[in-house]
Amino acid sequence: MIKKRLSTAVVIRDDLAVQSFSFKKYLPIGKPEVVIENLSWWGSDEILIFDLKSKLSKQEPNFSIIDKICEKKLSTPITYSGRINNPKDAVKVINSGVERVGMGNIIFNNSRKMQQISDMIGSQAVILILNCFYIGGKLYLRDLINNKSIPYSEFETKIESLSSFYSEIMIVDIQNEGSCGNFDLNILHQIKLNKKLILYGGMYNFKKINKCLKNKMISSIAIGNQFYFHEHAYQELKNKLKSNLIRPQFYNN
Amino acid sequence: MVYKKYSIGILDYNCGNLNSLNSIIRSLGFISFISNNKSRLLGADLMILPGVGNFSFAMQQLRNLKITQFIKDYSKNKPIIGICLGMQIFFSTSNETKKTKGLNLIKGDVKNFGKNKCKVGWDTCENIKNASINLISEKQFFYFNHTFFASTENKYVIAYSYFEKKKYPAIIRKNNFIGFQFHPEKSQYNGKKLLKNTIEELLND
Repeated sequence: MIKKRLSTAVVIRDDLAVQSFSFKKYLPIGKPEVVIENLSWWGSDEILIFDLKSKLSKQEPNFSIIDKICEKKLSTPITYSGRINNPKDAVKVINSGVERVGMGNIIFNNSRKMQQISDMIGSQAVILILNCFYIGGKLYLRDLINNKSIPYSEFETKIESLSSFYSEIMIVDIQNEGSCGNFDLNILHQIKLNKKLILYGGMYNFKKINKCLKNKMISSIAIGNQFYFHEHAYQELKNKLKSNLIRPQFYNN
Repeated sequence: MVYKKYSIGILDYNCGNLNSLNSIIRSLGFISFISNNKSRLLGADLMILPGVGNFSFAMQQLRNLKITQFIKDYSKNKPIIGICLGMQIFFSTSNETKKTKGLNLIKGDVKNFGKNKCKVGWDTCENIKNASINLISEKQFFYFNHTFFASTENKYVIAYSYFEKKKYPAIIRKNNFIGFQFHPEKSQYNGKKLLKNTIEELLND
């Protein structure tokens, strides 16, 4: 039986891995390739990279960072998201050594590009990222490029119509990102799509993780900040979860 | 005793996690290089076809590089490892995006699991009894990421896996070709061990 994943998330800003709080406040951690190398040694099921746009970043994926990561002889699946706007960039990111790409803002701006990308790298290699927040009983999506919030209901049909072009949806609770277990489960009640979900943004709570792992639509739980400061924090979390729905922890990678 | 370091050529056809595969192969103690130059690849002891991509796009890339016949000729004389899509293109056809002919080196079709269905994550495989070789232990987890699988004759299958109760080939062998539906290069300790054993098995056969 296929196991659900306990994924690790790494937020990169201005070429540095950072501890992120709601994608608004950041604290530097170190070189992304070193942070990612550690997570790979600890046997992370998957590493999700969020390379954030800043004043210093170019309008394309950060190929120099991707190359530094992929030169590290890592044998852990890696997903990269960050300014992948066209099929050429997507193919280049994959060829650099990444297995999947994440795309969020493309759905607001040019969803046809998602089809073109999928036709080249395969739908299995594409993840749709939804930056969400739940407020006043309503779910909103955040368009980070145009800096505006749109009710999820306005985009549901479009997200569904594109479902052949991506494999999973990553739900990012942007309000609770960086918090210790505050992911708003109300978000899940609003999303009724026939696609497997990756949850990220305040998931570090044993009860919440175990509850979500039992949900058949959830394929992965992603956690970031909490893994950076303790040796073997990843294996310890897996050990404490005692869940046979995930792959057992591994100490000798 | 003179120890020969084997040379592994990784085919660059725009459809694979080339650099990470190259790093892993080197970490296993082999000499490896990425290329689509036929004479350079011909100098390698073994060729690997990586695979992250779409079947139609992959076949188009191979045709653009005028390398399909080269792969067929190479496979008659030297060992090849195909990974995921790099294995699927060895089959007759696929209906990914549109019906497309593959290299047809192994009879069989590449089919999807069903609309919008994708297998992503860590899973085990089941060895075939009396298979020519057993490369894995059934307790080992490997990383899968695919929406299509190869449907072929049992004689080519050495291990199966399951997705939503569907049994499908996870490891294929025909002569000196071995194909993995999963990604050994992304399966950490077990995957690296499997790649090393497979390369040595094919080169010492």
